[in-house]
Amino acid sequence: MMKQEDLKNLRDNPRRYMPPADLWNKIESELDYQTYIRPLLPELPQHRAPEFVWKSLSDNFTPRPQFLRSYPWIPQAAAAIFLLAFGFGLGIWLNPKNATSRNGFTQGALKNDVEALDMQLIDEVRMAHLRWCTSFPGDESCHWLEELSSLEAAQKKLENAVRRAEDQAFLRQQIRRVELDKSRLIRQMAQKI
Amino acid sequence: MDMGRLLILLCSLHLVGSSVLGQAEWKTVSKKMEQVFPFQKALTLNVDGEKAEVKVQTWEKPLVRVQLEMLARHPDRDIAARDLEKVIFSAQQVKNQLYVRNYIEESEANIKAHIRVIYLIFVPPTCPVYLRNHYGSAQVRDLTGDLRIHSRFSQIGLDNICGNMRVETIFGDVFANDLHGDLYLNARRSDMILQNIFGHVDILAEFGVLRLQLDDVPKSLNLVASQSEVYLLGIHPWAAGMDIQVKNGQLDFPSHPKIQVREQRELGLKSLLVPSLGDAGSKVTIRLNLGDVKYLKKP
Repeated sequence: MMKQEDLKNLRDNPRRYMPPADLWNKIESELDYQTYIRPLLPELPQHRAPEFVWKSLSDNFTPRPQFLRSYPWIPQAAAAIFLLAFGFGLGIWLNPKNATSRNGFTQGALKNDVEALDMQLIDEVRMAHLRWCTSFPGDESCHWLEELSSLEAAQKKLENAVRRAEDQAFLRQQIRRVELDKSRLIRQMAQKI
Repeated sequence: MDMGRLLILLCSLHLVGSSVLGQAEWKTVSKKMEQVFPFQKALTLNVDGEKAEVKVQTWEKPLVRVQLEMLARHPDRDIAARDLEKVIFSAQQVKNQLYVRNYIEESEANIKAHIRVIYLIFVPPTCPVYLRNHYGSAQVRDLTGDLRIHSRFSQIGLDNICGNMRVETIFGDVFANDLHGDLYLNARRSDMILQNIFGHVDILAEFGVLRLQLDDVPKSLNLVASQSEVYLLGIHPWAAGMDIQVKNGQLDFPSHPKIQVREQRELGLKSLLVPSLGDAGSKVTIRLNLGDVKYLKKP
């Protein structure tokens, strides 16, 4: 007779059925494509599509233009150029520096070129007067250079302030006035060169 | 002599001495020349100046006369004379083009003296003139032929010009009076005063103060500007048709019971439309971004 303890052992330790140790190896070796599956392929039945299927496909197919068949890379190149141009345009559009230009009359890239030319011309005048100031200390060139530096410093301060300010219109007006004063000073300095 | 008086005397002597030494005596060396060319009907005068004050005037003779004076200033006369030799002048006629040119042989850093070249050119009134100048000035008057000016760091003066004008300038002020021909003016970082303008006028301006006198209404005036201050001066603000738009700036115009400045706050735009009394359409069109337009009515 089975004792209560034996029943308890059976409940807690049910029988486990494990696969034989070589089962997985056997399955793997039977699924080997080269050895077992490939030799079977010629024996598979073959069914050809009826002729009218090919004809209807051929009738409905719009061939590519001749030049595209000769140069298959053209559509790829066009797509690449389009993507590059789109990306470049998007970059310019998203650049916050150009936001003012978009609202104004000047395009961003062109504006940057013109501003670079301005800087170059201002530096040209500055260098000429630096030479004069070095050769003749006390000359009015030295005074003008000081004035130019103070105008540039004021402009920089205003530009920093405009980023934080809520009422930007007044500050922008002041920046414009400083720019106009700077231009006037540069013109005056250039007359002496 | 007590110590205080001695100190004052010493300070005074030092000041006098330093001011005398500081004001070194400038020596000027100059060179003059003149050339005359016969004028044919299709001849164009081309002037390419550097550090030049160019004056172009008219006369009735069928000749083009170029008078030139080159000056070099420096406390050391030898340096002035040496630097003057580096200024090259040439004048030559190639078919219908007369080229007058001066340039400096060496780089700016090697020039110690202050160089100035002064041209006085006489041409028949119909002679077209093309003028290019860097660091100097250009004065042209009484011309009936076409005029083109391309300048940098040069003041431009125009007086009584009947031919068409095309002026491009950077860092150069423009003073113009009695302009009867059509004018195209592209000015950057330049102030301008235009008065008595009668033809079709197109102006592009950036970073400038513009004073336009509108007593005599031009055939048309189109101004596109940015970062600029525009002052319109006149007696009758409502005489000419006006279409003014100012973005991100102020538009001040004399008050009128019917015509008022309209404002679109969300766009930062102020606009004014004054109907034209005579011919259809506005004669004065102004588009300004980041700047102010103000009409100053003469009493």
